[in-house]
Amino acid sequence: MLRYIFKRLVYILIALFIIITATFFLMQLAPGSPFASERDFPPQIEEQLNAKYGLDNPWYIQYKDYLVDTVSFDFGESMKYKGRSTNDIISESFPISLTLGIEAMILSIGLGIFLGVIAALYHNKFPDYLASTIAVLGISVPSFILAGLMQYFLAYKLDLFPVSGWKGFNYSILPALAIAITHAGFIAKLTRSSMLEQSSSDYVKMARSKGLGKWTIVIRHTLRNALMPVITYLGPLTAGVVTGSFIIEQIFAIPGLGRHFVTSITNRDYTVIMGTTVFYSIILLFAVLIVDILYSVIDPRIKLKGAKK
Amino acid sequence: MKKSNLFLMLMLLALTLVLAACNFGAEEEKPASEDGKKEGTEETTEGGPKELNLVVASEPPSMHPQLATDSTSNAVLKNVFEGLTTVKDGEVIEAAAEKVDVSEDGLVYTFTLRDAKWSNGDTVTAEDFAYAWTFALTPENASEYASILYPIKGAQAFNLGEGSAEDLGIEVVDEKTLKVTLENPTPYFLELTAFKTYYPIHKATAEANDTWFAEAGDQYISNGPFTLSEWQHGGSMTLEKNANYWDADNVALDTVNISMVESETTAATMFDKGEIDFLGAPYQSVALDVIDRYKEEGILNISDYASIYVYKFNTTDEIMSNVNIRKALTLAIDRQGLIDNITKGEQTPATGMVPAAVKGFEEDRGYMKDNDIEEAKKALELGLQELGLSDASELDIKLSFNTSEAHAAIAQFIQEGWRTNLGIEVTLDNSEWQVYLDKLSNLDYQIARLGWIGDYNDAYTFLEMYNSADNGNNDTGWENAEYTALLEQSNKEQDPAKRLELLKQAEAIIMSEYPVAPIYYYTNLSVKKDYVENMELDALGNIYLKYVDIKK
Amino acid sequence: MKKKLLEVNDLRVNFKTYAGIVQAVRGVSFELYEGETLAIVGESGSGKSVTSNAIMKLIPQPPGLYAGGEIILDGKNLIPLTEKQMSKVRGNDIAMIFQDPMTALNPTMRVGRQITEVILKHQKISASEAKERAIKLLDLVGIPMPEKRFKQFPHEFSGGMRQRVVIAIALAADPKLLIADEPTTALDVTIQAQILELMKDIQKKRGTSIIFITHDLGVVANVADRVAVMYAGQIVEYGTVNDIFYNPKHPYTWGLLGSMPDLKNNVKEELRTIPGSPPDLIHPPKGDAFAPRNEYAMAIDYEEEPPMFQVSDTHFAKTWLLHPDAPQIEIPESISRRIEGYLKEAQGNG
Repeated sequence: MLRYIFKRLVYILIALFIIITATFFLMQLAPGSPFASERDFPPQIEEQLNAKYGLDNPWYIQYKDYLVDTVSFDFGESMKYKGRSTNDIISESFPISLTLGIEAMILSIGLGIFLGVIAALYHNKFPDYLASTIAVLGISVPSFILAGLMQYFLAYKLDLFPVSGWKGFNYSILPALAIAITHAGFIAKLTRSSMLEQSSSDYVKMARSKGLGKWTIVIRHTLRNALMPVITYLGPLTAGVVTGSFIIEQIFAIPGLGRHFVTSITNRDYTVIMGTTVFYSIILLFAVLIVDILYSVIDPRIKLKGAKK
Repeated sequence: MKKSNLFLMLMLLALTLVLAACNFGAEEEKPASEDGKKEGTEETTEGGPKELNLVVASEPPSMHPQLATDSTSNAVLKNVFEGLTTVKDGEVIEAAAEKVDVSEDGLVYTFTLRDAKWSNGDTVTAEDFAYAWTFALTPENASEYASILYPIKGAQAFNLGEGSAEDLGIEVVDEKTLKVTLENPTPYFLELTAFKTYYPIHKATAEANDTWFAEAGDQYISNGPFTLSEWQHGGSMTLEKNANYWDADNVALDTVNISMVESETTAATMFDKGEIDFLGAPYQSVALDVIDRYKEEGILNISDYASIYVYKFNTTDEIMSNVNIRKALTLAIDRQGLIDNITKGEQTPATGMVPAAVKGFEEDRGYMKDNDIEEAKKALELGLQELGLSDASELDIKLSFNTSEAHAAIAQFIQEGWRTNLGIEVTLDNSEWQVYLDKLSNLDYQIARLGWIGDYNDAYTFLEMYNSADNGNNDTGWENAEYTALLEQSNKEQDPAKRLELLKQAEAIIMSEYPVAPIYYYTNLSVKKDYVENMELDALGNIYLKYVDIKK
Repeated sequence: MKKKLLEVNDLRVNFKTYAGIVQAVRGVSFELYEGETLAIVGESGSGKSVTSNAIMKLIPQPPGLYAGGEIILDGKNLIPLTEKQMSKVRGNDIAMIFQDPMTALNPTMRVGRQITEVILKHQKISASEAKERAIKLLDLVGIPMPEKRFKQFPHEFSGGMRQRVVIAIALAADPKLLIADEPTTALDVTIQAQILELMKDIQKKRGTSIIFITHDLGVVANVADRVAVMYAGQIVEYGTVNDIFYNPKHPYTWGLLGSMPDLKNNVKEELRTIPGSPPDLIHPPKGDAFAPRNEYAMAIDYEEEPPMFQVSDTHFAKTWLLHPDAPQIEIPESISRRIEGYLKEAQGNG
């Protein structure tokens, strides 16, 4: 197992290297500069700004500095938010996105698996139709529409929740739901089809022939095998959800990291782009690694290549 | 069996760590005054603390008076700092300065400071002002608004790296006296000293810590009616009444809660629900789709704004270099129709280069009529002849704007007008903001939209940018020697009436050559709850919270 | 006198499909005594698997439906029992051995647990006792190092070993009846022999009755006491092993027996097949279902379904040829020669 993890870490480093190099060159190629503004200022000032952030160096020097920064995890001061370091921006906004993301994950996994199991067990009966319809609605209705509707009805009309902000637990419920419902729908469909597939397999029939109760069979036998595809989906899902859903954060005015991913690009805030890209990539790559390891724990048939048994 | 137990324990451990890192945003309150509730709850002491709840559209990029450039930073800075002068009810009045003496030739201003303290108890001195202004002009600090200090002698040279700080016309006579020497008798100078780049900063703190402005707290020392007591980045800011402010007795509010909400729709919902007490620039804006409803409810306030929305023409372009074509396009815009149907904010059609909100320019100067199709057609004929073209359809023109629904809607309306009335097919071209700005400054466009907000209430700020083709804010490639001369003269003219004449003459010139098609003068839309008093926007779009009161 | 364990009377099972209602089992009746092995033979689609699944009421309803008849186990009719009641019967009184050992075991559950869960479901003993029993069972079915194997996963066993595990699971709660649905079809021949030996051994030791579903007549000859030949959802001939092999009366049985490849005696001879294919059970024919493929068919075969004619105390066949007015038709010579030779061989190996 250790050997496998070590091997994967090497791959992660390689992947990271490619990602940040690509990001760097894309940033260089994109037209525009972080200091462009409607109100012009003298070129001398612009020179000063460029010098301050090292943008007047030739590209290979910039690239070298950039790599050094990445390795030392110090991405410098934001070009847009004066006096604020990228690391601070990330370390302040990430826990918020993380919290929201974890809440959303728990909701979506719980709700999704629940709906999927119900749908599969009452296949072609009313609960199946109901659960499947809910799932499809969840997938098709975009999260920002859900967010808007919830905000209007639940927060404003019914006054059950605050409209926006992040000042306590009940501020997190609506946004977490908005993020979760789409994924829950997807997980529900995935679970349902996987459950149906497993339900018609021989070992389930065998379990029935042993005289085991219906729910015992579902939980002890079918579910565990049916969840494999769901676990595959969880890796990238977690990374994406945890690092912030831009639109939801915008609608609910949540000071998370998601916003920074997008705004840093429109602002051409190179330091923050670099910081957030590296950060996100690391999380994603590790999430996938963890899922793979999780696999080998859950499914004893899977032997990770390079692992000793 | 064992392996999965160990794994389970590791997962639980990881989960615990993660949960510990979780942050639900329930920050510990700095109990500056009373309880930490968010909605305006009553307390026992004399009617309760007065709390005002507002939102802004984004995190302010900088809370340093000399480095800030945008309207959100401005909105907050205006209330935590105070300059030598300020604007009240449209008039410039003394603020940090008790007395202002202007020399005969209008070149020397002597400011006598009143007895005032910083939020930490230190006295506000002339040195603080000198330090702040020098900071803005120091090239290494790369202040993007430094140019507003250029009326000061030696400022431009120093800022461009050609002069030295010693040659600046800023003299600290004594602790309470600041003597400023100008390049030219700048009649609107006292308007400028009310602007944020002219605010003082606490010298000792700024010298000791070069990121003093990045967080709220002990390091953030200010001299205005409020202090920045809390700042949750990307989330919210809290202003508390500054006990050390010289005029604290006249400040009614105790706390101002400013949340950062990017979505206009969310902001409107918050206002409807009562989570905020005011909505409108600079504190977010009234979303287009709720304007009608607020109008019906009778709570929509519309105030004139010293800003102008224009279409610039690239006079170096083959087609756009022809003045008659430009004239035709300018005249054939149905401004009132645009305002009634698209922008819906009861803006004023712009028939001049200076908005009606600017003193002295309230009346229409009669340069052109709105939607003057007849004249437009005549001009078009002439223009086509001059270009050697026979028909309008041969014109290949691009209209550029930065990606935004609002600008797109306006562009489409005008494009339609040009097609129907003049037979000119104009193609729309939108680009992302950064790219768009590049296009403008590189003169890589034919027609482009732009808005200009006045920094101070004087016509000069709207006319100055065209004084030379090289002016960074010109972007049209147009210049006119007579126009430039008139502007320079106006700078030296001390008589306000004569000066106004000169400026109007300059405006007449530019309005005869049409390098720019003025479209409309902005208005500011806002709504507020009825228990909020004295919260109004001035012509520059500023709101001074010092005067706001809550009567619940 | 052996006690009767299972009695199936006129069992009918239908399936609702998009194309229509398939009558998979159309009035099957047989008996099974304690300690006895009944082989149910037939080609694919004859209804033998459905019958065996039906006995344990494992047919999913929908789309399946028990359209009639009784299944009487130890005097109790199973048809009206609820799922909850059936779950006490399954595993406990009746157990099934599945065809494909690769898929019959849960791949993510340890083998030991798959055995103990049966025990713990039906018997009130402690977990450690159950574990002991499970290990003993593994030993019984001939798995070496059972303590080690107890903790392993199915993919760590070979095919034959897995089938042994499946048998161990089936035996775990000590059922009276084992239903083996083609348990050796998926295994290679050498393993096959071992498994069959094992099953006979267990039967001798424990007195379990076995219903053996197969299409392989060789296996039938090896293990069965009695044989039921199924065709198109019905039992067409029923008797002891000797009855069937030495004195088959139904033309279908002749065809089956005749289609066994005879490698020893006549390699050059063409393989005999029964031409045609089984009938459509959505619209079963009104007469004898085998008539279209029956070279000895008479006019009445197309009109009316033949009843079960008794040949002896133990032997029955459902063919109009046994009617007193029917022509005397005997099993073709070639076929009976074959059978002899085959039986001789089977006895040689047995």
